[in-house]
Amino acid sequence: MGYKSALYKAKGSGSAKEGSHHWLMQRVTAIALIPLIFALMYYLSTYDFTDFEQSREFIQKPAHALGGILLYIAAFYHGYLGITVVIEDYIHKKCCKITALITARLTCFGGAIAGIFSILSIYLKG
Amino acid sequence: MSDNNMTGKGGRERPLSPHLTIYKPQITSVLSITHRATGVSLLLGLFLSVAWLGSLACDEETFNFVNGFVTSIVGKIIITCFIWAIYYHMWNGIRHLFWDIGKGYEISTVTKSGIFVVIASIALTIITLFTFL
Repeated sequence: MGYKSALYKAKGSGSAKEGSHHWLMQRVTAIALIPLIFALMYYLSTYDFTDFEQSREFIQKPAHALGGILLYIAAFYHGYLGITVVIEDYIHKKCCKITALITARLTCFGGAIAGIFSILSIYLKG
Repeated sequence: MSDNNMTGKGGRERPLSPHLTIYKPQITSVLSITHRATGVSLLLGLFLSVAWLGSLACDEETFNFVNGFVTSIVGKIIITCFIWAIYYHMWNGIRHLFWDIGKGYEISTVTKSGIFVVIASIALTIITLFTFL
């Protein structure tokens, strides 16, 4: 008794106690982004997004609106996880690091909501 | 002796690990830092895309203001860079996913997959641009 690590303590997390979820979600969002990026590039090369009406009509198709929302969720989640690692690696002063991490969290969350809101507002007006 | 750069504070001889700057850049290290650089840039680009979408959600006047920048020569160059960065980050990310499942670690394979990432990203950027801009 007492000389074995409990499985729940040994599994997954290491001394940092967190990070395995971060690592996994970075991969999950990365995989989600692959088909979404191919779709985005396909549409970028087939539609004229410099035209106001054509751009709005594009987003007013349900599949395009849904794809756009999924892209924003996956991309902002992935970007948030990535920028967090970059901040943790390069900013060492504690107060600067915490400020940067909170700023990253708030702006990525805000950016994702703003993007999704824009898509929905265009979609619902159509 | 205390003023050479191998000495830390307090005047005692303390060896430093060789720092990043003394190594010759190699395809592996250059592609690795480019992955980070493209990642950070793409997050900025993502915010710019929200600005574009937001203007599209507002009205035609706001859209035309943003669109004026998008269709300018500077805007086109920036969009080209973003398209390349997306492809580069995606292909190099796929390379990372292979490493995650334990494949492609031989030095020769790492070099080859790195060259593939560079060529594939540039080729796809050209293909996308031919129909886009």
